[in-house]
Amino acid sequence: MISATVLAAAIWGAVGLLVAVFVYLARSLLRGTGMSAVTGSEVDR
Amino acid sequence: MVGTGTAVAVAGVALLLTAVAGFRAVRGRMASTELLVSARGRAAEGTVAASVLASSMGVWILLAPAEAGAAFGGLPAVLGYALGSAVPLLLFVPVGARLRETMPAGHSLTEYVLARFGRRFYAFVLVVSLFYMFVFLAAEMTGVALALALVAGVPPTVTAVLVGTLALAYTAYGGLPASLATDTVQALLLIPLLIVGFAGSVLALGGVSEVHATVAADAPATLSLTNPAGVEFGLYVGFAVLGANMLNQGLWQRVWAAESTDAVRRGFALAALAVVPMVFLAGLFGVVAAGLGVVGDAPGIALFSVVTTALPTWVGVALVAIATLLVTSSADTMLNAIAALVTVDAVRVLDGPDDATLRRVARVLTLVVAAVAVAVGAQGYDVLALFLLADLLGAAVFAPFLLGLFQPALTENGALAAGTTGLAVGLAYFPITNPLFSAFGVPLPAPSFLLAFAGATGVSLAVSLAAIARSDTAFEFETLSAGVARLGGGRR
Repeated sequence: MISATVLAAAIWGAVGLLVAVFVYLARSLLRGTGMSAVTGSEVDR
Repeated sequence: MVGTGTAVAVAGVALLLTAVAGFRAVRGRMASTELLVSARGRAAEGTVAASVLASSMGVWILLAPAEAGAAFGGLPAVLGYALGSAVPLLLFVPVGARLRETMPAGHSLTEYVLARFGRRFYAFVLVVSLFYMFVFLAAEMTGVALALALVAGVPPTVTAVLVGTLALAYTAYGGLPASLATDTVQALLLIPLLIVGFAGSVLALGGVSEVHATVAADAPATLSLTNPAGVEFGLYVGFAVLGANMLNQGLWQRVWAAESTDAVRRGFALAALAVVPMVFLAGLFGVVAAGLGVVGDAPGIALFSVVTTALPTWVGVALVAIATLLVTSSADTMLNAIAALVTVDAVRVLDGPDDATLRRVARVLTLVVAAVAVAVGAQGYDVLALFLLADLLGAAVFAPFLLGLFQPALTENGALAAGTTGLAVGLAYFPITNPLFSAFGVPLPAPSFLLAFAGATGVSLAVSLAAIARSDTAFEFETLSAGVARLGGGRR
């Protein structure tokens, strides 16, 4: 059985990883490497 | 318990934000079928990551991982689910790069399999892929209807019709560009909601120490990393998820929609990284449910049992928004993927239809698929058995399917032999089909999900490799592009 410390590390580590991914993703999208490529003016016809 | 009116309002706002993003994606202008189906080169790294993440993470993450944690072995089952969910996305890193290199103008996985192998293996893959994606879509509709009924008493039909109609509206209108744009918005809303929801739940339960003490007292086996049932589940769920996801047209579309091969690599890898904590944290609710003694005979709703019995109302409200965002992002992907798969094949069947005809085909197909999925979702069927069967079919067929991208010596006969022998072994061990064989007096081994999925994958891979070793032919990959359909006017 894992200890409370290991469980805490797993839970808060997972939450921290999600925060890091969100920050990276938001920065990437704000830099213009995201949705602008989809919603740009290249719609055919 | 969240009020029904509040839940419908929260779900409505989430759906409205999504739909606005979807309609803005094509900005009221007429889009070609090529754009609706492929959105080729439109998505940069951020969009690829957000879209793959939002498409892969459906409302199933609120149901299945927690069920694994509560009833299939606790932590090792949850960990296996989390890591196993990331593996297919990581496999797309080399597969996506190779696909863009050998078939840069492609649209669908069936287009590839027809050009690479031939009509018989194409039919095999087409059936498996469509079956898997439809089951996924129907399961999502069922899941969100169940979720909102449990948390807020919303009638399943209301939820299924509301979600299905909105997702259908922007997907039929805006195709893949709409799906990519909405996925991006959904991911940006979803991740913070999950962070706040997970962290808030832990704190509301008294902190990690309190949670650990409760589970250790009442369900200590769920906290053991060597729990045999959990280890077995963690292994077989990895095989189950892998094969089916490789036959997910929604993910293939995003490989071609990426602006560069580097965007594919980084986007899929980032999505894989995000999937692990999402599934892991959702699965922990099952372990907590076991500790709190609220699992009863319904482990499939373990997460909701914890939320409704032990957490404040605001977590329930957040859960409504999370469930709505999860389901719409997956449903629009599946709707568009199924329509794209059939639309690309319609070019062959309809003998070079014009663009307007193809657009109509794509939109009518999207409407039909959505209507059937909503009807199924409102019934509240147990779709787990169908999901497992779809996963088994995927496990049996994905090895030759992918090896064909890299190994010129693999022939259609070799691929068919690999797929059918893998499927035979899988069905023999599969607990749902094993008794059917036994009823006919066929001597079979004891049923086992692990042996069914590992056997289907392993045998299929082994037969593929043997076929490659024995083959004296060499497929010319340069010819793959010749099989690409030109949407709105015959073939290239």
